[in-house]
Amino acid sequence: MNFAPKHAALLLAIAAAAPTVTAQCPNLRAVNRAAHWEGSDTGTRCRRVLSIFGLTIGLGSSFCPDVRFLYPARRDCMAVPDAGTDCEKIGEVGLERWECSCTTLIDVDLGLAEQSCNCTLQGNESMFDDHATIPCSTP
Amino acid sequence: MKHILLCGVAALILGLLLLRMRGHVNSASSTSWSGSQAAARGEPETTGPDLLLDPATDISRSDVAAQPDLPADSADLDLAGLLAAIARAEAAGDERSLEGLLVRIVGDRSRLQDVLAFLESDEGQTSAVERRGGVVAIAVAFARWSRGDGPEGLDGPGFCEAVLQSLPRQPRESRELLIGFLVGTDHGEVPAIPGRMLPAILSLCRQHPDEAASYARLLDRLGQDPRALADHRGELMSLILEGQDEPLVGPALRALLALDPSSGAATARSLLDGAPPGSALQKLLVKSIAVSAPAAIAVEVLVAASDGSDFAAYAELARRPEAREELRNRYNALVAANLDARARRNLVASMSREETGTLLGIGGTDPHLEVRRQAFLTASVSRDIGLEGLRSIRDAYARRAAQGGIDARCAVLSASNVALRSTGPARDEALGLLGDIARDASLSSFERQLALSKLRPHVPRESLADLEALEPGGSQAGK
Repeated sequence: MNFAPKHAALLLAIAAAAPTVTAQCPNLRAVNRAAHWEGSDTGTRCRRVLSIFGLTIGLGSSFCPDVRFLYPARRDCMAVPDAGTDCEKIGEVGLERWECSCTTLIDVDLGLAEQSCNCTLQGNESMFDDHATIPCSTP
Repeated sequence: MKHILLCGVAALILGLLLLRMRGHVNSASSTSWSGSQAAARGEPETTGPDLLLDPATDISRSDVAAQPDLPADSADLDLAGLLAAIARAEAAGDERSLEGLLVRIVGDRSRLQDVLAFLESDEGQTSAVERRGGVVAIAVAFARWSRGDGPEGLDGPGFCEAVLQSLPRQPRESRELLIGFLVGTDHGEVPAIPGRMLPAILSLCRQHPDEAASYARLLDRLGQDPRALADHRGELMSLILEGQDEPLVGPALRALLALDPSSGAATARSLLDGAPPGSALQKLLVKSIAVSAPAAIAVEVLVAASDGSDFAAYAELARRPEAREELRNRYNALVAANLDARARRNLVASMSREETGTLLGIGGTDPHLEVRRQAFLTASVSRDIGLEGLRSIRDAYARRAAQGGIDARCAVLSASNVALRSTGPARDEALGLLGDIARDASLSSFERQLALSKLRPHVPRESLADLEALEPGGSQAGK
């Protein structure tokens, strides 16, 4: 295919029609980060203990961290390229601290006392920046 | 008299003959996990808690007929019925019935094999209750025989390896339940899973990488009793250095750090140098170091390698009394030279067990806003800072336009923490501060809405009638 002058003109027109792609524009976008929990390695095991043949059997045993953090959903700048946009801070979101311990719950149907990990909100431990993808302004 | 003597001698001879026969049967037995293979391997036959040697609790010597509280007609139950009965006894927490039922499986080599086959069978052919009963039986047998020979000369460790090897063949639900039971079974603080199972667990993880996270739970439990892995340092080290099996690196590192904090920390630090910033591996290393490395090293890593989002690691370090002085000294050295605000913030985030006055002092004096904010949040989220603390927050907020204050967002979150944790005048003042910020028209709508959202759970709706316009969709929203 020959590269005709009309093609060059077309390319120039496209470039002109996209003024956001400038030398000053960082060409980055914000990236979604889902909310997630992170727990401490230190904690206890919640379990209903039975003594059988001299063994301590922890039934339904599950690890219960001393503390868990709920990282909020947010958008972050992680150097992801995107033509014509910038990643800018628009606010802050709180990191929640929950403290956990084993509590006994009664299963009415089975008449069974089960241990489960119960966490209580303590408040906000810190803040994380929240970002957005903003179109670069035309110079 | 002569007759009585003769009967006694005959009974004695008969008893001796029976004992010899039993021994003969034992030595002739050989399935994949029967016979004393542990002795053949030259391993100690019992390395675990002495309960496993206690004749009074040895199922193989128990007389089933003498077991108390057996459910009526339980002798006629087929395997599925027996497993369902076990699950019901377990659900009811009826230890005596459970023992009576379990003894028929845990003390019977061929029944154990049948239960394993039962757990491996298609879920459609078995009920959830029966599978739970099977899991309970296998977990108890595992705990019983993992450190010594079982009934009829059963090779205990060999049986336990067979249980582990059976896991990939089981439907997911049974497998996860059994892993949960194996992990949750112990004697005192000693896990049922012995250290010698490490190679079998690693083999499972490597052969089934998609399920490695599940099998890593077994390793993690093993690592909680460092003595169990004392003979396996080399394997742990190579596992960590391979670094590819991420689900395994954490448990292996935790175990190594617990066994030998200094060399474990050195290994973790060298790995940290090559870990991509912000990666899951980096976060795992920072947290593991915070849990177990010597305090000076843990604080150093926190300063040098944490990106500011390792709050579980900060909490781990905070709970270690020996780290407190290290954290305080490091902070004081940095702030005296006004160096590295990011590191100071990480240090303050790790000082949740520090005295309230110290944290409030940092909140009022540190040269950097981020550090001051963290100090107020760390103090207010970790304890009731009372009226004095709330007034420190208010004072710092009043200086927001000047050097050394805090912004509205920090004031809102700190006051909200006080409202959650305090009662009486401190709580009332905290709610008052939130109300002041929500009503301050000079602030952004984001800050005012944040204050309103924190206020709303604590006050009657009608008391916020004047703030309706701030609600999402209201006339002042988004301004």
